[in-house]
Amino acid sequence: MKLSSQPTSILQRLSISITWVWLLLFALLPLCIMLFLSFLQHDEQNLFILKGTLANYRQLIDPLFFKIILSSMQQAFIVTVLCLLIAYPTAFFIARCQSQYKNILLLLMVIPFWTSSIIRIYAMLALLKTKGLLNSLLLTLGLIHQPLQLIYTDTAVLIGLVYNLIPFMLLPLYSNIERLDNCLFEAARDLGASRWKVFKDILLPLTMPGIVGGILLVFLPAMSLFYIPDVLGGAKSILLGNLIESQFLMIHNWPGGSATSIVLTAMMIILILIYKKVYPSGKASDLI
Amino acid sequence: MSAPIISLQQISKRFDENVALHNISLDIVNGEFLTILGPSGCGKTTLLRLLSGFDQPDTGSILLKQQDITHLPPERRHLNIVFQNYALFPHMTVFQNVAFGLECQKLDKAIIQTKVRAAVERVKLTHTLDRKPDQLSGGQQQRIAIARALVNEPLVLLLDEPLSALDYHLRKKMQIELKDLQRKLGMTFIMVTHDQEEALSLSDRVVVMDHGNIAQIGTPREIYEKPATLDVAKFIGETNIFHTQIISANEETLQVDICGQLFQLANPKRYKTHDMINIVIRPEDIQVWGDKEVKRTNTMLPGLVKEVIYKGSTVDLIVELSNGQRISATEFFNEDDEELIYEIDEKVLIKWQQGWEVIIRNETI
Repeated sequence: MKLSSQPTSILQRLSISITWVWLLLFALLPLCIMLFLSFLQHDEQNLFILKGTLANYRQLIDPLFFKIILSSMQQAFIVTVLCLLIAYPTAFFIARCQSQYKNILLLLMVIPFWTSSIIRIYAMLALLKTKGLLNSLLLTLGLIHQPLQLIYTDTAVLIGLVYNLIPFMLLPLYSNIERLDNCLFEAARDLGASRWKVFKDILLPLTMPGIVGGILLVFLPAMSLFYIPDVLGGAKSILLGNLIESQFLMIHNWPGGSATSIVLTAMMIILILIYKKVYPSGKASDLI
Repeated sequence: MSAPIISLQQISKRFDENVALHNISLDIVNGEFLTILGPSGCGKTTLLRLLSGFDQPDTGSILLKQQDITHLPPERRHLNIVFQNYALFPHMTVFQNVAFGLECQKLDKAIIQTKVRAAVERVKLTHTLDRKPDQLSGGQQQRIAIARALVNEPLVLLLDEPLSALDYHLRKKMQIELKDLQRKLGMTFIMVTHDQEEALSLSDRVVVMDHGNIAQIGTPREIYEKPATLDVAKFIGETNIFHTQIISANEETLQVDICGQLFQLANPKRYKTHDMINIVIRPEDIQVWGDKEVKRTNTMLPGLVKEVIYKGSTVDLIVELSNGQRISATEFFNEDDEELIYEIDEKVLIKWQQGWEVIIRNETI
């Protein structure tokens, strides 16, 4: 590190060390503990027993667990696709706005997220419930004659997840698109490209880092935000996150919960590796 | 003369409240190298964007080969543009960049191969076909951008300040290449630039623009030697300007007072007595003599040398006249005057070849 060799860098060194210590204590250490726990046994009386086993991982292939993993991946997939479909045009629109509107629009997108996510989910409950705002509005407008059963359905969970995760898709896409020079699109059209070809051959490849970044930030949280299915899905729908939560807090199976978490982390690493493989030139910093 | 390849007819364009182009009409001859020259904000880039189809004029029409293309989108116009920053696609190789336009035409793969190779060969960069744009130097990027446009065999090539991002030597080299290319292809080139030297050295004709109007159209020589307005004179090259009033004038000559001395000059534009005029003289048309070298005549003005700038092939002098006006003069080394040594505050006499001055009426008064 060049910085630390300079005499003026004591403050820098200090702040960098604090960050490192923080990450070591609260990210790497817990992860190691989880990894360690995930290979331990467990019984009714103890949170864990110091005896090695692979049973915790084997249980994940068990049809019951496997079904949860699959359905939660499916759910996360749909959430990610919906986020992408909504956020991509929005990000494009904001990035191509005149600069005085740009910041306002971005701020408007981000302001709701200054409120705690759980509070917003309860607000969502008020919107979606049978006599909630959405149903009242639709009834008043005469668009429906019976209130829609939205709450405690998978649809409600989907809406909640998409709503909560949209900024994580929007921001990487926005910063990616914002950096692109408008000249590139003009050059493509000048060379005779249809709008579709401009999108397919210019915009899409150049925004791939933003897309992958967004997917990474949305896909995994979409499997693990356990309180959203709890509140909006009426605990009927269960995600990988709910599984981990119940393993830790309800049946007190710490090794089991650890193994599930480790699998989730592994998925994330695999996704990043795939991206690196497909785009060797892409820098990790492009993803955020 | 054959029908123009491009004809602009009474084009006007406004952005919000600002008039970018004001009733522009212009015919462009097939095969010419035309430069649109002017300071930033004069409307030259707007004009190029209207030609390429990225913007539409508010009124007027644009004809390409007698076909109205005013409202045709860029992808359907048979012209191509080279952007100021080249706008090469960063995720594609040189080959893919150059092939892009041909792919849009849905040409056969083998034909695309041949055409791309030929185009890249023309700019002597065949060895870079597999590279990405960021692995090329500025000059190479420039040439690939030109190849990418030319490969489509457009009727007209538009160039938006194509050389402004290059350093001085490369720019000189590319100017020659560009001119050479244009001559060999016989293609119409329309270049926008703010660099008057570039415009003069490359073009068959120069269009000087000023505040959304065409100030003058002419060959580089006409633009330089016979500027139509004071703004054109000031913008193209260095100038010395004497503001004065005509004391008396007849059909052939006029009399003016310059710095307390009476001059009799030719009057081809038939100015009248009491007209306010500007007398424009280029620095290289001014001769400077040492006080003791020559005998003062009534076509000479006395002054003091205030600045001596040695430039290798020339020496530039700033001479202050008795009324305080500063004149710049460019002296060339030649057999008659090998020394060209001047000292600050040295007394000199200046004169110019009578008849080489340009007299422009003062519009503001």
